[in-house]
Amino acid sequence: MPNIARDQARSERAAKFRALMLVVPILLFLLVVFIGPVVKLLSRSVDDRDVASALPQTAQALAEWRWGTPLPDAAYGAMVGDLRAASTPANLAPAAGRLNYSLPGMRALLMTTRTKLQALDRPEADPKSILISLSAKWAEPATWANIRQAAGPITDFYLLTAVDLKRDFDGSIARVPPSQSSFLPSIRTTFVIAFTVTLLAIVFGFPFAYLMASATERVAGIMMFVVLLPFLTATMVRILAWGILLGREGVINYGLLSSGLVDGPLDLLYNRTAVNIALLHIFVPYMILPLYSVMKTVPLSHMRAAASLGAPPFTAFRRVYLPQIAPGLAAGSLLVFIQCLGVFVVPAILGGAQEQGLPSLIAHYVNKTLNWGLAAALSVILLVSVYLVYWLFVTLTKSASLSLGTR
Amino acid sequence: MKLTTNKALIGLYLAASTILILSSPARSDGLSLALFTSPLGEVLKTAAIEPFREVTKIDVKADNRDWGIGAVRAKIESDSGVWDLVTVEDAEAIQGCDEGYFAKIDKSKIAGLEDFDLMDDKLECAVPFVFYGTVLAYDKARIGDEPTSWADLWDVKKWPGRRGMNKTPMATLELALMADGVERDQVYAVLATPEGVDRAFKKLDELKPNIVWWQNPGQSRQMLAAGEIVMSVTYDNGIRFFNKTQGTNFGLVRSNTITHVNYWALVEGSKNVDNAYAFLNYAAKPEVQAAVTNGLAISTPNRKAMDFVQSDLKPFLTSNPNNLKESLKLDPQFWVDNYDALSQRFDAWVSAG
Repeated sequence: MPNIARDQARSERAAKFRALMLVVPILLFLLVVFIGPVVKLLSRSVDDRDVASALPQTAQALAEWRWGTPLPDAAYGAMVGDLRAASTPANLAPAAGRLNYSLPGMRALLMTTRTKLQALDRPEADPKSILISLSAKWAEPATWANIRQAAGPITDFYLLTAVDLKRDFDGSIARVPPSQSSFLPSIRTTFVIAFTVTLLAIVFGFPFAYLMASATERVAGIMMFVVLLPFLTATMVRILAWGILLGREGVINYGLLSSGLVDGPLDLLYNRTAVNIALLHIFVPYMILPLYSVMKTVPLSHMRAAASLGAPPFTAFRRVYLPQIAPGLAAGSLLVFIQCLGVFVVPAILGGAQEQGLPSLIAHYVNKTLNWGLAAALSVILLVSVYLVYWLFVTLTKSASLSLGTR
Repeated sequence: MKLTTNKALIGLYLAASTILILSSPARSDGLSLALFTSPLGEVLKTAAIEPFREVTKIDVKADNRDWGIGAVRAKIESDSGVWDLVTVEDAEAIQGCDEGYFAKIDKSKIAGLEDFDLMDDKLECAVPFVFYGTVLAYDKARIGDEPTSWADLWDVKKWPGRRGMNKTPMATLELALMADGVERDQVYAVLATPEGVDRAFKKLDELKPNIVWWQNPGQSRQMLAAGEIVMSVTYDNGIRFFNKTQGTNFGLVRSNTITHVNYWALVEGSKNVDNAYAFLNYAAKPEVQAAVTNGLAISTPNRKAMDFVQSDLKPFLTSNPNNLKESLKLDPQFWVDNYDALSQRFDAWVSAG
């Protein structure tokens, strides 16, 4: 007996090993081109080593200093030493950029002070008065507190900024004034659009999938072709086509005007309406297909049986039909919702600025301002929200003794 | 069988990654330029770069650069020597110089630079080559009364409909303050205070529901032509260019134009410095400067180049004294200091519902 068990275990291990070896290439591939870069990028949301590496003496001199107490005189000497040690401006640039994020004007202050110091003879003699004579900003505690907060090696600055919080110089966390915020409205926009489109996809996709599931093979085939047709056209073309249709002088406004339904052309483009319509068009197949696949497995006799037992149509639908198709509904909603959270091109082309949401902010910080810390922090928020949504769906469907996609 | 598939897959991955590595661009030792991806880049190619190649036989490569100093910095840092000269906006020129990735330019090596007195910030690391203005434009074919000031952009009673604006805080905050009654010469003094910034955003708040933001000046002209917007903040030279090439009849408001200067910047560590100076000399010639101006209705800073500019174009140029006297020069140093903070607030404000 033990031998058989051992042999079986061994052969199972061997089989597992072979299976693992088969997926090693794709795992390695994912690790190298996907997981690795993602983790590296996301780690930038807390990484804060630039200032300490460019201004090591200053970072050390300020380590013990607390807001509200007098600044140690050693800090001035350390700053002069650090700035003179930076042989080229490029050595200082990353740190200056980082300090400028949290206190405007820091970039220019560091850069010009460095240039002026290089020209001076023996500024170490009286660093405090020399620094203050070069710029009055060196006399302000805020300048130094900003440097101390950015001395790393890790920071919560980017993550706090991404949710409209900031750390005051005394270390307490405060809300950014509403007038100056904020990322929270963008995060809300992203979710509102995703939610609206998911809801619309259910409203439009459900009846379609139901008809398709109850239609004859031939008709169902044609309907399936209609659902898949948009996939044959490039997304970009579909988006631009909506731009033409929805314009003030576009087909839809022309139709409305000539039918006398409206007095003047409607603004359909560059707003929420246009984005919702285009997103619905792009994502509704992702709702219809999972719905259709589960609806197809529900025998029509179930509804008839419910009716024969005295259930009114709505009760039969709610208590017999809906629980059976819930996995498809959940899978479709999840697919649509999560894809909507990441859309970037549709709002960029058809939306106004209020429709841009998180992805375009992330792209902006990655491509244009190169504030990768903030981009990473916003990505963390997006990733965590996607995970939360997924977790919510799984939990909700489990509680109804269902799980995603499978039964 | 499975294992062979496996090996084939591994082979495929290896081949793909080798191709990715090998396909990085090759280096030439002629001269490599990075141009704005805009009509300006195209005009520079025909007016300056091609003739320069003909005359000097130097192998000039013209690359495109992305918008934003960050993108330029990333490109230069990741691949030193990729570019020798870069077209930059004013604030980019200053920041790149401060941070040491643009080199100081020996102005004595460029003949005729003393004639560049129409518009020049005299930056250490950059030579100006064009300037233009942010103005209010409208389609005369679609508008009744013509607007006359930035304040009219806010007058949605008299001119109902949406307005196009550039999705950047640069020049936008300035014109909002001018629309709110701040005098031209006081704009940066006001904007330097937190209250001034709040005031600009408050003014923009009033117009927010009516704004369609564009990110590429071409979009502003297209939207005007399609009647999507009733007026737009846009660049003056583009309006003239569009009227000429598309046959539209756009008008523009000259009062309180905000002017921007574009520069050539020399990348620190360039291996082709002599070729770069040769090109800067060539591009500074009055005839070449005028060819750019004639091509795009964009102003030249070179006074002597005005002799070669088409006479019917002169009244439209930003550099026309009548136009220039009503203009506000964009303060690049202000934006170098404040861009990070203000653009963060602006982007968040813009995308908030």
